[in-house]
Amino acid sequence: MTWTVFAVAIFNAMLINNVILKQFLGICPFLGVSKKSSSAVGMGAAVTFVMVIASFVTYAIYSYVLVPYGIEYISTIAFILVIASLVQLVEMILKKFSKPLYKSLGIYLPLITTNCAILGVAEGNISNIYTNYGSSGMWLAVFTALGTALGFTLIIFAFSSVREKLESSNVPDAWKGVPISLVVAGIMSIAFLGLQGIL
Amino acid sequence: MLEFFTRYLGIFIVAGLIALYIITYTLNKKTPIPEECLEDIDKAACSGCHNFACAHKG
Repeated sequence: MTWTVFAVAIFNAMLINNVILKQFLGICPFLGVSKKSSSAVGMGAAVTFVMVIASFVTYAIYSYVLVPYGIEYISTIAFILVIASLVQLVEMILKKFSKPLYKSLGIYLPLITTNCAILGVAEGNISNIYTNYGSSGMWLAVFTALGTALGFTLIIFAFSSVREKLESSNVPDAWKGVPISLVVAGIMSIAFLGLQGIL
Repeated sequence: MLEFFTRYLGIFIVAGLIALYIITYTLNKKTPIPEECLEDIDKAACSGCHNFACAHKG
């Protein structure tokens, strides 16, 4: 596999098949943690961190444990448990060895355990990449996860910036808060449809 | 014996992963939160969903 394949995978996952605006995964943090730009960036960084590690681990478990023993049917429950354990492990390591990183990411880590985008990427890697490349597609899966996470961070940051602007804008009373936010999310989703077919 | 393990391997793996989650959860809970981060967590918590990361604070 060449670097072009990895670059295309990142671009595709980040912008064309964006996890929030195209696949509608991770909507909970998208709406819940997008009031302030600083929170959005922290959440994006935490998701990137966990999504890349989780994709690597789940792909390895699927390739080297579940497939050889013919027990692929437990993949979803195995991935849920792996992601939940991984989040606990990452949080513990950050608490112990990297206090500055825990200070910036730590409070967002519990939310990631229930973030369906992480599980969605792990399952997507299996259904899209494993069926075509087998166990040799592990790095492609990792780069796809990286692209997906960067796309998540980009959108949540852009959305939070718009919401911060809306706080000081003259919005009609009936549209204040959630309604105008949902309209903005819809317009962003339509805008990203313009990238369809670029690759 | 080997056939028994192969037949129930899925159950053993799920049980192992549940045990792994319980262990990591317990170890994480026992690891103290750095003092400089306690202030952030108290500030972020609210009585709505008790989720530190949620921005919808009451």
